[in-house]
Amino acid sequence: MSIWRSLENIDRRWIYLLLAVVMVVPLIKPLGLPIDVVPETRTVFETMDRLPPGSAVMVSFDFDPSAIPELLPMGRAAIIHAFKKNYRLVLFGNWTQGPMLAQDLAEPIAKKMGKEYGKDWVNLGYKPGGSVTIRRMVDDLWDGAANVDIKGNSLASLPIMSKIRKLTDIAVVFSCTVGGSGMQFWLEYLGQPNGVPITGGAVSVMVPGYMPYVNSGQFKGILMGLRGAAEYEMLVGAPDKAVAGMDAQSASHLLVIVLIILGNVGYWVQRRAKAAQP
Amino acid sequence: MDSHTAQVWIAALSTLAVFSFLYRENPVYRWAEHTFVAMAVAHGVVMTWDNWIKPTITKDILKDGKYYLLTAVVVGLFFYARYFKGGAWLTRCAIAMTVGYWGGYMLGYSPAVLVGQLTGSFYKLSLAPSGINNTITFLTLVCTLTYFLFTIRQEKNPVVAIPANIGRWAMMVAFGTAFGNTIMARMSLFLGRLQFLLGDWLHAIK
Repeated sequence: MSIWRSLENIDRRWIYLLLAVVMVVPLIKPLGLPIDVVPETRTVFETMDRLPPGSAVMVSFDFDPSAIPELLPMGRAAIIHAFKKNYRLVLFGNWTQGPMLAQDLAEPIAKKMGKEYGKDWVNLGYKPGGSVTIRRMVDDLWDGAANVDIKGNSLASLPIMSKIRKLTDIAVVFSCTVGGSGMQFWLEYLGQPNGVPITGGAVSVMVPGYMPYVNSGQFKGILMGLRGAAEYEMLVGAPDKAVAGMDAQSASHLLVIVLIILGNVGYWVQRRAKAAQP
Repeated sequence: MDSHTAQVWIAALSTLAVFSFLYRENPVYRWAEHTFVAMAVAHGVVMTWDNWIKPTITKDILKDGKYYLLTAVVVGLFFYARYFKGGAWLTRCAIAMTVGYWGGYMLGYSPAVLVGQLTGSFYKLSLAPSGINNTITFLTLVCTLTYFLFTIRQEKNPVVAIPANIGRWAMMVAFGTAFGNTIMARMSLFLGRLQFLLGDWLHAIK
């Protein structure tokens, strides 16, 4: 049996094991590969960075735990960015578990950076309804949010909300997106009709579908998966898990590329061998 | 063991339970899968109740007297009428209202975004370095649309066949990009779990 035939019949579990080894090694011993910032990430950073102090910024956690590795670092960097620039931060989520993740993330950061809940930042929590809720919040944010934050506090009792009565009072919406109810919803029901800039990031698998919106300027840049998160972490000056994971990510891509080449060469060799048989 | 450590251990063991599927299908994986689905549903119900239904009942309806909101509850209950003999027509009424509402709603908001896409397709076309990408995008768009021009037989008309062929290649490139991004996403998810297992659980990395 030729080596190509052996490779064709290899147990897939060996590939899983190889992948795990290839990713674990750079995590334990980082290679320090350079991280370049692409224009799409820079646009996101500049959109968030150019606002005057005191502007209201919404960071929407439109995902659940399955997308944590790619989207949580983006959300973390956006929260730090907003606090650094002294913006008023509004957290939200179109997915049930997103705002809970946001709360766990924001509380220690706010404590470390001296930001007070209710005055400097607020978490509106999950509100069902998706686009319908966004549409309602454009006219009356308080009513759209059922008048309560994630802790059940009345919005009237929170000083930060006194000047945020409609979604159009928000200067920028930064959405961390997986699935449909993220950047697309924000664009359709807030950004396009009301001119509020929509920016943020998406899981890698969604990025090709969103690029036409970036090219047309409808999305103000986009963070492309983990790589985008790492670049944004670098720009904000708060490197963390995304940056730390880029070496392992690159190593895994290299392995996949090698496997794809091997698979195709093997297929080609096998086909030639079959054709040569009498 | 404090509560945080207990949480980390539960999360780590659950992760390993799910990963055990990579070896083969087994009861531990099944347990983890079913538990996750159950918890996600329960969490969604609690969040919806706490963040929306409860405050709407207590404030909007009982305190502010917006009793008209109850009409939405009635229409919502129509969906369950199909479980009663002769009640299916009520469910159809509720479905008709939903379809009608969403049809109008989508037509009201989606075209503006599509117009933005349309104008974006003709954005700063030139052969200069600043606009060459826009020009390539535009030409690719035209070629790809030509591929779907089924009313003209492509093999007999080179004016259609050549751009259609370019469009076919453009789509192949797009599918390849989508596949590459899918791989990247899946690796990122695995990476996130590895960072958790090696960092938060085993403390092997910072």
